[in-house]
Amino acid sequence: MDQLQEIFFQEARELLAELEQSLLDFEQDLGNKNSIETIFRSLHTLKGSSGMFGFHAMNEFTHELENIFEEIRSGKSQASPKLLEICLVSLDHLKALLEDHELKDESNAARQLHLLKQIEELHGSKEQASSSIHIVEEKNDLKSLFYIQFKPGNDLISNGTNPLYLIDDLCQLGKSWVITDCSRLPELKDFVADQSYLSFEIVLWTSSSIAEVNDVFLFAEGLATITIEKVAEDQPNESFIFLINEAIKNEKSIGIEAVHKALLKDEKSSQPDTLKTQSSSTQIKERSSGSSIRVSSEKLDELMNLVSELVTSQAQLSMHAETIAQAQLSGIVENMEKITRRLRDNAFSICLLPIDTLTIRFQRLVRDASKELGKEIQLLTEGTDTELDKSVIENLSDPILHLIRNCVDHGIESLEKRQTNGKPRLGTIMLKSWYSGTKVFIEISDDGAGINKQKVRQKAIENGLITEDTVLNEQQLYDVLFMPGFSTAASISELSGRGVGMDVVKRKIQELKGSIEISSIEGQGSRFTIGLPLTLSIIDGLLVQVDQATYVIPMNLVDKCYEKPAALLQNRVQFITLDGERTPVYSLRDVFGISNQAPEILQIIKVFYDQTSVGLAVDHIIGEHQVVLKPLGSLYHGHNEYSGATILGDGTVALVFDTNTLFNKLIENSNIYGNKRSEQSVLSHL
Amino acid sequence: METSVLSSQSYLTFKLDQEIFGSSVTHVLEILEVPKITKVPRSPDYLRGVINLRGSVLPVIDTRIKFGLPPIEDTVNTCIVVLNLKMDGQEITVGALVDAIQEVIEIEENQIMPPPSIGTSYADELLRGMFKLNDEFILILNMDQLLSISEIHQLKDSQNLINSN
Repeated sequence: MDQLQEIFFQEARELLAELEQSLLDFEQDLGNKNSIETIFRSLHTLKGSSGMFGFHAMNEFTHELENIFEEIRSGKSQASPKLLEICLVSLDHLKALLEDHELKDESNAARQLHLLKQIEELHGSKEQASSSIHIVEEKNDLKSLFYIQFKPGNDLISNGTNPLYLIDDLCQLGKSWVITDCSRLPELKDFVADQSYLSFEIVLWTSSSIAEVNDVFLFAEGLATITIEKVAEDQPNESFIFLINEAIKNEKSIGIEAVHKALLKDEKSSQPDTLKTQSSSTQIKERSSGSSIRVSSEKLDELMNLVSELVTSQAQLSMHAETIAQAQLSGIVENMEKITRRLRDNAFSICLLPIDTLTIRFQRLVRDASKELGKEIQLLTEGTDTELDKSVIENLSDPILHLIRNCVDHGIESLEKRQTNGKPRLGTIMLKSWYSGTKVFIEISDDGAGINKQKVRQKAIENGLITEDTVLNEQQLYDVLFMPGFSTAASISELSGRGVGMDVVKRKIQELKGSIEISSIEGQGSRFTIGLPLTLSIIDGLLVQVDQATYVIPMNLVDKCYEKPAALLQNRVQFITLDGERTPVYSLRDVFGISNQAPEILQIIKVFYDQTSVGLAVDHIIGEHQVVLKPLGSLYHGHNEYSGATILGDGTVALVFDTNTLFNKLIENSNIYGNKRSEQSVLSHL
Repeated sequence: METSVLSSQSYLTFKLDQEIFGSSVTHVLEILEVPKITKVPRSPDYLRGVINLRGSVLPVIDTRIKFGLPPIEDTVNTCIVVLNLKMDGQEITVGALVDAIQEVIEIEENQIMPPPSIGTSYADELLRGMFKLNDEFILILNMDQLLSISEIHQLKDSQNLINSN
């Protein structure tokens, strides 16, 4: 049961996310039929499944919400901004209900009551306001008369579906008469509480289609005998209504024949267009025939592990096949290598999620926060189909939320200020994402006030982060923003300005092996750019040898390889002209403090670094290798110049360089690798 | 009587330099011959490097250096004890190089003598106690402390004290 509940919670969270998105869409365009349908469907599913799992508070609540949207859907009432406001608050309440499904928390219980009341009021006022139109509409609309037989099976109630809600739903569709058949009711001593002994006959006069009527029974499917028949297209006459009223009084079923007869007898001219559907699954299933399945992330991790091991074994096999050099074997191995490669890429793509999955939350945040602050702000997105590893996506949400919050709070100016500055009323926050080489970039920009450098500087001095005479260039000044304990917000607001934040943002992004940069033009806006590695745990690498050890350089960063006499490279780092370009070249031998005799010819590998290239001198280049990255473990915590290690075909371990960090370390923190003055002068050209 | 049965535990004993140490077997996952160890340049001396343990990367500690003993060349008897340790609340797996593996012995809790009080503070943390087997002392280690302490020069001094006693 716990496992089932977990599935429900997962599903409910997704449904709520979908609901939130469609509510926000709906707010933009109140006439959008599609969003209403989606909202209604989400609510309906949520109601059904929460009922099924016995979460009564949620069940009741969604039922009420659904009723409202049912009316909007059928055109009986109009959506208003107030309604949406309530719906969004209700949505948050539903989220809270997921955590506290029995309403143990008093504040939740109180909120539920308050919201229910609000919904009811809304409901009531709608009905009054629209009642006059209602009647007119009724005459114009194409309506039909349905006869529905609903016999709940034994398991219906124990599965959590309340038949009364279903009938209630039906009655919402139009004018209805319900006949209850109590003949199956047993003696009290034989009565089982969670069994249903009643059956119902409902005559419904509605403008809904047969499919919509069928939808009501979505969750009773298979648990009850349901017959829905369209019996006439005319309004039922008085004698027919009399017949039904009699039946209701006597609690006696009438049966379909009697309905037909009564209609035929009195309405000879009418030609009932009979369309019979057994409430079988066929019709309904068609709609929900999705092409995706739900897989737990543990299974995915397991798959990734297996693929990693396969890739490692494949490398071993290839190596041995090469030494044996038998034509047939090589053919097979080559083929297998291709398949492994494809399998690897495929398995990876499974673990990728588009950034889209995050944007709903951001949109909601911008909406709520801008309302609260009395600003008008829109969030535009671009390239949100860019995909990232699911673990990265999960950890990225908070930092981005914080950045957007900052944009709303500090970035975009107040309405008056925007007007005096000649800017459009509507502030814009842009969330952009794109691939670049082995990285994914996410950029958050606003057209707000930008960063006031003078203010930042002052604040930093006040907080003792820098001194009066510290000289900082623009980028260094922005870096101050990421220091712990820095906050320029004059007053601590609900949204941001608690002084924790930007430093946490930076740390989180660094944990993901990413980087963040700020650029800003005062009066025009600021821009935060996050760069993240594509986080592939299997990469293509170039195997190189330095002294006895083998290292891997990620292939996608390798530009070109050169052969140069060792005599050219005298220092640890010096400029060597490669293809007519002066390039700083590091000798890995020197960097690692290896003192024995170097080979006479060095291989220099030109590696991309930032906007330029840097050379790395190694003893030999061994070749290309598919690398499965394994973590080095917490003992090597400080050694982030290696992104990990990998196991080679012969079973030995090779370290994999994270060249960006390696160069950063070599340049910024040169005392790690010994300090040389000449180095500084060389590096200042970079 | 029952309580004493319950409190008896198995200890793996191994040799480092002249001394015999004991580690509760609950920490020991397996014992390996020394394969080719890949050095990680610029890492602390006591970290010998990493090895391939059936597809995962295992860091290897040079226990001699960690304990402040003079380094020696590996011999045929040199082994890696794969340990499961707690560090900062996290469980990690490391390999520890030892000179030779001796045996597994059962020791009852009440037979473990307290470590000598003259030691220094972190020798106390690492040393859980001593056990006298035949004529030799076995130093029972608190393995979870192995990584938490930075260097263990003092351990050697306390051993000398024990020996001279």
